[in-house]
Amino acid sequence: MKGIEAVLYYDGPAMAVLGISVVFMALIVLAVIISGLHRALFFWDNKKLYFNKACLMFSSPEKTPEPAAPGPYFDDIHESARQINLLVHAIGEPFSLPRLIRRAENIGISHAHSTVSHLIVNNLIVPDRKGYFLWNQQACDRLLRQSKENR
Amino acid sequence: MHHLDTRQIKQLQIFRDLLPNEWEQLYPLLSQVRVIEGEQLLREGERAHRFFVILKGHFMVHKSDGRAMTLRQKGDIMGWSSVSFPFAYTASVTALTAGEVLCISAAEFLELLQSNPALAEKVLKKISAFINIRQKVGSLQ
Repeated sequence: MKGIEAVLYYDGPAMAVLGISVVFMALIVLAVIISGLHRALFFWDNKKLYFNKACLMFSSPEKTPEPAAPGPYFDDIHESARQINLLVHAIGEPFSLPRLIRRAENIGISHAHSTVSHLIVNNLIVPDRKGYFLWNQQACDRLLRQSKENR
Repeated sequence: MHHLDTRQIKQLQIFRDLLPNEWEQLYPLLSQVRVIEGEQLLREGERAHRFFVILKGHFMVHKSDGRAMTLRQKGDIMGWSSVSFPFAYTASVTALTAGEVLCISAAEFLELLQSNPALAEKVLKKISAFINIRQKVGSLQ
């Protein structure tokens, strides 16, 4: 037996296909490895960063304090009400809102704008429908009463 | 400037009745701007070059004679002089608290309104309704 006949007899075509497959599979694997090499190098270069991230993942999460709600920037509405009330007495009623804010800033009330806004929202300062504003003493008294009751 | 929440903005009184094609024309003109407490958005007497819609915050509309009113309703408008004669702000606006507003360039807004009468009618009707409400609440005219 010689030539093609011998090749066919000993499963030559199948072995050839298998050989080609093995070679191509190896080339594919190599290509995949090479295409991902930059990632591996990046990981190696930043190994400390990834190590820290991994440590954070396995450690118990620390509770971060929730950011405080923006404005009004005062703790006690009574104190701001008292200060603004004194100013209103000095200016007289009805008063101009921009003027009140300007005076409040001049005497050093911090965040005068949001303080006045807070008093308007709580109806301590009310519009007179002519473009000026009034101090609502009833609302102020009610607020003080509620505060006393809560204590 | 910040990402616009289109769903939220479409719900605003002034834009509520716009058709999809009208909205598409208007949308590129809108920008969302953050303001800080005490910031002056408009100055009385200056050429009206911007129109604002309140998204968040408390604002004081005030005139040089000392009269004022405050706005804190989402969708309230400020600077409507930019789309009506005399094209100069008739009052100043100062932010009482930090907030967010929609800002529209007056020139672009006017150009759009002039090119689309149907849109102009809807928007100007809404602006007129806002002005009427304000006059009832506390006139600054």
